Amino acid sequence: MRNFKRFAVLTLLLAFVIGVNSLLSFALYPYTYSRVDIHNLISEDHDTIFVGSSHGKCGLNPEVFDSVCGTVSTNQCLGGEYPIDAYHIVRLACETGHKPKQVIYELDAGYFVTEPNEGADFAILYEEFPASFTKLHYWLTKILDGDFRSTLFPWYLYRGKLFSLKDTIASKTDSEYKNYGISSFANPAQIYHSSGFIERLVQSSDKSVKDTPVLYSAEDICTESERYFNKLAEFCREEGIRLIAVTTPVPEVTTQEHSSAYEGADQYFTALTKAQGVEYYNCNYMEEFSDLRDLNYYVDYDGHYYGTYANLFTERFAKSLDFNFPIAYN
Amino acid sequence: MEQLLEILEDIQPDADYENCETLIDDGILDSFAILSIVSELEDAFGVSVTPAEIVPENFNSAKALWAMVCRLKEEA
Amino acid sequence: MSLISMKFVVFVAAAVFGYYVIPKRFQWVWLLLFSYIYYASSGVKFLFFLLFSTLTTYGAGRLLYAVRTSCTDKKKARFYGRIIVVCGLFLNFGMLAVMKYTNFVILNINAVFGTQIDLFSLLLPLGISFYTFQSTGYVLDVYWGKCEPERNVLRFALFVSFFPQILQGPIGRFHRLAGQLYAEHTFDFQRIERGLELILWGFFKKMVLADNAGVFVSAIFSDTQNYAGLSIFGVLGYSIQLYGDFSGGMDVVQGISNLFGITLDDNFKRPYFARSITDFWHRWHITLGTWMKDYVFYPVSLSGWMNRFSRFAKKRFGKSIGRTLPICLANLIVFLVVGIWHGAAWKFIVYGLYNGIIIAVSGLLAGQYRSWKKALHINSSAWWYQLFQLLRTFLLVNISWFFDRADSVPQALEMMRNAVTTFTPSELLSIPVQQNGSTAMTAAVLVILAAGCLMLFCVSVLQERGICVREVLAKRPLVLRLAVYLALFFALPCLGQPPSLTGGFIYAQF
Repeated sequence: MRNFKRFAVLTLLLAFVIGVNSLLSFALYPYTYSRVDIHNLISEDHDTIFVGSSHGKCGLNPEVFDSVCGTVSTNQCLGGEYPIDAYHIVRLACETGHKPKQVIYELDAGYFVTEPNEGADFAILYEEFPASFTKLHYWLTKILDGDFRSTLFPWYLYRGKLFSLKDTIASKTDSEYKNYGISSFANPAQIYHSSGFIERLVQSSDKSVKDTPVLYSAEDICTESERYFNKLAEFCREEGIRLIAVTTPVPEVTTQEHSSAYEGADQYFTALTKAQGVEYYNCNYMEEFSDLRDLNYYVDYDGHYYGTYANLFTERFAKSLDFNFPIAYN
Repeated sequence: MEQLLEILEDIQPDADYENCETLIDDGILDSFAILSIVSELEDAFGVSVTPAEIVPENFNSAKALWAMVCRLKEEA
Repeated sequence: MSLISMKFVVFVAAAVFGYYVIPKRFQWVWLLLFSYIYYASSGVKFLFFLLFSTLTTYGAGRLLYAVRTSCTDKKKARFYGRIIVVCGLFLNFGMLAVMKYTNFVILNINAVFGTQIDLFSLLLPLGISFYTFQSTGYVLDVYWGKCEPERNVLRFALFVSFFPQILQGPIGRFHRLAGQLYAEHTFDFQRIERGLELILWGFFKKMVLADNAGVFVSAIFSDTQNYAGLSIFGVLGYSIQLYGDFSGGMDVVQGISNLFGITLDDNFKRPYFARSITDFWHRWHITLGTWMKDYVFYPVSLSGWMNRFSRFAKKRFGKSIGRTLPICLANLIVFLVVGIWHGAAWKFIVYGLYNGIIIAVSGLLAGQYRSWKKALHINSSAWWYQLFQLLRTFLLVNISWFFDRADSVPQALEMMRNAVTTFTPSELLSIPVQQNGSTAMTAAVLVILAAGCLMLFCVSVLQERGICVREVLAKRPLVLRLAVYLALFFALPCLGQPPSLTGGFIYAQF
């Protein structure tokens, strides 16, 4: 009887904790565009999936790419997306029956010399994954290594949003949320497109403070980033997906100021991709992009394109890619 | 034994050495005091105290200390 | 496996579950298996160091016993015994020294002689500073006959590798720990509840107190120019951070051990209630202090050459000073080792010697202090005198924290100077507690910190009075207990800092 009472108390306690957590998740966890991105990934077929960092998010416009190549693509890049995240995105697409023909990975040295930051970005993609083997694998390989609070309290990195509680709840009860609408993501600095592309708009405060990008350094190479890039390459080979790597161009003044770091990154990525038989395009060292590297075309020194120039870049990049569309794979 | 009590009084006065059996456990004698006592014991009784002897059982009371001194004198 | 990772939570849950499901006589084997899995998770190559320590100290223990029992010639037995001990200590401390201090030595040689010797890239094996001390302590205990050697190498391996304590202590003693590790434990619901309680409390101290204080400490110590006026808050914040982090970690580790029915030695006893630096070291990182006392302080003080120095000192300076001077010297040596143990940097050596000198001087002047107090009719147990001692000790300890936390000795001195020359408390609100954080957020964190410290203070006062808070709570109605647990549980995400700003436990790097 005593044990039954204890068991009952424990069950009630667990139910209470789960209940409070769900309520707090609903009230605090915001409606992010990652939710829309992942929904698009698993509900439609795409020939091409772009993965990578914020440079890719702002620099590669699937609509422009598709108009050149006659394809259907989606931009699944994200600021804070590490190789381990990119790997699971591609896996999820395959598991849900939407295997792409190619994956274009935008490589940023900053993600190969640091480890995933346990900030708000840590589980932002994971939270939007549907229940699947990929999600389990993702949990085992990334989330499990994180702070236990990331698993037990998914809302905890958003507790600062306590004061915008009403807005968060409103956005979640809105039909937009249920239908994966995107209008709530628009703000004066950017427009989110349903393809996943973020069009950056000119703001007067841009470049008022000089930012320094996270630079390549041979001593700081993160083995986990390398490992997951290689895993992605192997997975693509096994699935018959063509993997292409690209480093988007950054302002010329930036590469000049940190020339040894950018050259080091180029050598590093060239070797990494060659070892896996992956094509690599480093647009910082390609003639056809040299006139697209004026600082005025960018939001910052780090290299995030304004929308207009992102479109120009994407068009030229699509044309420079060495293949014909559509491609028949075995 | 009288000599021992004098030594104890000299090094750490104001403690009841006749009756107290928790000199170490109650923190009345700290490590400085213990070593000072050992130094005096070595001079006064010609014994050699090793680290193995520095255990609470030997220092918790004046009686225990005296027993240790006597034992060490015999073994020497 | 970080103590705050989800992986570790799952690991401990699996360990505890299995522990009470398998036949009791295999419980210690289960612990050994999990301890080695835990250690291997930090890097399989580091297992070599753990095994090396385990096997050499196990071997030394068995050999010492064999020599003691089989050698009839006492002198020979002592001689062989000494050789075995010296070899055992040399191998283990040698390994520790090479892994931890090679680069420090090279850097200093380069600085002094202008050479350009390359540094080695040596990763410190997990917990090496702790298990080396624990296993060598065992060798000395066997040598001095304080404990019988363990015959079973696997059981001994568990003593060295027991996973809750391998990361950051406490440094255990064989005669207190071994019996518990090998004993059979029956599942007890209350024990699980008490263990989980302590774990929760430990995480509260780490995540709500230490991590929140840590944000301010990092900012102030990394920008000594702009935050010169906040030097004093930096060091006070560090005293909260270090205590919350380390003692919080100890509570977590103790709580986990309690889940298995094992009680580790205490490592903290309300250190900021200490009334002298000596008393402080009886309350802070207790097991390091007692290890140093039993294995360095006493042996050095009672050694042959120290005896010779003692005789010389007594002749030269008289009996009183003469017998205290060698003890002071031994004490300085101990604190030099304590400083070096903390890290391969001059600031740690200064930190150690600072503590050592204060204790040595107070030892030398003990008699003098007694006569002054008598002359001034000061009653040592008067409340105001005890308060004076407490505040004085707290001040002295905080000075030492400057050396512990600053990047270098010059920076520590600069910050101490700032602490007494500039004071701009309002700047505290300008420190962001997260990216794009507001002043309101900073103020909120300061309030959380203050409230947390008050809570800790109240709990500490109760404990100082000998009241076991867990026992008091156990007698209260279930609803109240659950409310407390849930409050602590939800305080961790609501009031704690994310690790992106603060990192794991501080002492896990040793």
